[in-house]
Amino acid sequence: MKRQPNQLIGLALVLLLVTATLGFAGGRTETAAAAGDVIAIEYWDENNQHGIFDANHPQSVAFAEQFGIVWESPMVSWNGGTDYLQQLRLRIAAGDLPDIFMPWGGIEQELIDNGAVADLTDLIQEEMPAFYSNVAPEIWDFIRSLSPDGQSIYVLPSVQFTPLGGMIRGDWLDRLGLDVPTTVDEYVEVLRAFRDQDASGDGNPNNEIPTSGREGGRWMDHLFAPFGIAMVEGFPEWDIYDGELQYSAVQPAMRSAIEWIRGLYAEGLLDPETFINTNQVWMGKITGDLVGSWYHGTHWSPARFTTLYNAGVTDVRLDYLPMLSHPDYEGFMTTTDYRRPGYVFGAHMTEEAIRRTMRAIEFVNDPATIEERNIGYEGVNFLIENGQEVRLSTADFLALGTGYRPALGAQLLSDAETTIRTNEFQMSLLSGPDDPSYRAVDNANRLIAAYSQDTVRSIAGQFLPPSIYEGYPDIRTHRLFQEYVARIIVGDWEIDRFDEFVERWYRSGGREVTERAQAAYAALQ
Amino acid sequence: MSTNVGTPTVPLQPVRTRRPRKRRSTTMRKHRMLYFMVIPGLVWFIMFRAIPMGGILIAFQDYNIFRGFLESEWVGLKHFRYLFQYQDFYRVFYNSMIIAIQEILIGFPAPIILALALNEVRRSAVKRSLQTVLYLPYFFSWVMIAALFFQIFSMNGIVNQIISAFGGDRVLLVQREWFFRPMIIISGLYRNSGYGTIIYLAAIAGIDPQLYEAAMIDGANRFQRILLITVPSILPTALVLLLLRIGGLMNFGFDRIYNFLTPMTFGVGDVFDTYVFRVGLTEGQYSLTTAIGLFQGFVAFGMVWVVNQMMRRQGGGLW
Repeated sequence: MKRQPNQLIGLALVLLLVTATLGFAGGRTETAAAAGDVIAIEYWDENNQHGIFDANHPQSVAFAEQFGIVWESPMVSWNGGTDYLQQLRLRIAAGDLPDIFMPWGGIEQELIDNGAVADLTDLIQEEMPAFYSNVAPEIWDFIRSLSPDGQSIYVLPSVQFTPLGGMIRGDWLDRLGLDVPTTVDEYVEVLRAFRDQDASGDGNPNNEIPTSGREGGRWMDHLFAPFGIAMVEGFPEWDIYDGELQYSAVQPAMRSAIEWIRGLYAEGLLDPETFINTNQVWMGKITGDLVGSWYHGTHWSPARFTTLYNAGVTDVRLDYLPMLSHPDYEGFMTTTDYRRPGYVFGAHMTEEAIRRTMRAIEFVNDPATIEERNIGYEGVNFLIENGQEVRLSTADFLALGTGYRPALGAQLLSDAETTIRTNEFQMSLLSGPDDPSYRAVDNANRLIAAYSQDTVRSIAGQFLPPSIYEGYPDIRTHRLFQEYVARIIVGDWEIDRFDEFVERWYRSGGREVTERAQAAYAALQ
Repeated sequence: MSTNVGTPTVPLQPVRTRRPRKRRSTTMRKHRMLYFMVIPGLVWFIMFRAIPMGGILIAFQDYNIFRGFLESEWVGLKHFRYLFQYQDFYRVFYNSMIIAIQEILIGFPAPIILALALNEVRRSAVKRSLQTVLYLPYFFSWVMIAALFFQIFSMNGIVNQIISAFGGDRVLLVQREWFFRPMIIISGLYRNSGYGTIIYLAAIAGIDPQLYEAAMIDGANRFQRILLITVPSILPTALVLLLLRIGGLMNFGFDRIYNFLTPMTFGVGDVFDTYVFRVGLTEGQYSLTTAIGLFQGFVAFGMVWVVNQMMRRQGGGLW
């Protein structure tokens, strides 16, 4: 029987569909293969800061020559860490880990306990001597405590300098003839002036938002700090209260802080939309010349500065808002020497691959190589035209909100000095104070310098293993705190309900988690 | 006088007719292209629906992502016990049920009413434009719709501008607990009602026009024709869709809630889907979240069964 042509086409289509269905369900395609003696390294972290780069990227090409590795960072959606974690868990489930990656959400403990990541103990001092010696011994002690024998190193810690602090619009203060406030009372007066007068100078005295924060009560730490609340990016942290390690959210000081902020909200000094502000909306208000003071990374401020400048606010100036003193409390700005786990190496990597990768990471983090790194890479930081080095514009870096990045990725170590030096190097490439980028970076350096002089303290709870939260997801995510803080501040609930929160927090697992945290803390001491 | 005509009663027995084997294979051969076309669907169903059913078993394990299914420890009903002892379990359960029931009571009839109304639009051009406008929101993601609603109800949004124009105080409705559920239902109506009319319009199109003609001759007005002809005709379709919808009752849609949820509305908006997201993703507790999924499945199945029984009494039902 002769087949009809349309039947054949139909059959082909069916086969195509079946193959496609099976194909999509199949494993991932190989992203990189070792070429010659060069080893491909798939590298994952929150690449929203440095973007994606592949084997053809100038830095990857340079690394291939310098260290014998091809550095590839594929696009991994971040979304506050949730998308990243989801994709990482997918790769774990498939038994196909990236070569080196940043653990997130406390997953490092699970990885170590299950032997999924490589033991770096024997290699680290050999291959990364500068990094090893520049990280404080107590941080290494903590890193070792994560291992089953308490002696091994599985994680490279991130100890990046992160100057998160309060900022206030200096040009607004100038316009109203006010000084930078230093006490909570002065701050309230300034906020009132922002609310009542045309601080932004746009002719409308009613559109200023004196201060703002983000959903979940996040990114408004400058309002909690005067009360001595340990808090990082809006998440309450663990510190010593009454001589014991405790969760800062359930302390009487927190009640006072919430009560004070509630008053600000009622007076219209805190953005009424604070608790529904997403990152984008909040940022849009700041760069829309609407917000008078906020809390964020002072080192990230050039992006805000230039956006404001380009929108026509040519006299923009950001002043550092110091930790506001309070008559009844000893306040401080929270910081952690140990930021987070930096990178782990997949257990599937060969020793040679680990060694070479370590050498690259050592180079990227060694304070001695900063000048070399500042020069950067051809095609990224400069071009060669007619035999002359032509520096690329820094506007792209500023637009990314990251400042000038001498090398891409795997940055774990920095301090105030190296940050300021890198910024100064960047300024030296610019024409001078007439250039808005120059002014933005200069402004950031002043903020960073002021931050370094402020009452900033490392908290006792920075070295807590993620395992203390096991079985208590709501405690880990601060869910109960976020619900109560929002509803009390907006006036839905009376301040008395704070006591109910404390009681509920302890009852829903807070007691067990506190015991575990105290035991872990005692063990490290 | 009674006559009893004795008719021999033969008990009715099903006549067993065996289809000749040959005929079936002939039919299959004849329609083989149709059978071939079923294959991708079957493959999909087996791969993505049947095989993953085995994954239910991890609800009874302490599933370890590194060790895999075969080597994880069996723990019986541990995760179900944890779920029922979770202090917010009843809140989460209540919220899930309330939102789902409200959605069925309001969201289910909406496309029917809309389809009936659309069917009465006589001008074809107007009807088509209306349909396009109504279908459009279905293609917006929940992220977009949530952003739109947050914008409309923001301090400077259109709603507050109207309130303010009438001399009222501006109020941030999206962070009010009482407003959360209405907002979820309204946004659902906005997004899904238009698209939901497609099936009903198709069912209406299938109604014999002679019925309408006969009714008109009998003097039925337009409203009576809708009520007595259109509605009964699409009722079977509506009931099947209702059953399907009840089946998906507990799978309300994570992103639909999550995009509207803020800590201020946790009290009324925290549902199973958002709880699973929190626990599953932040904690990687696959066993517990599977147990929750299984529990949701049981509840949904129970509801479908009850509603189906009710329908059977009325002569309908799926089985």
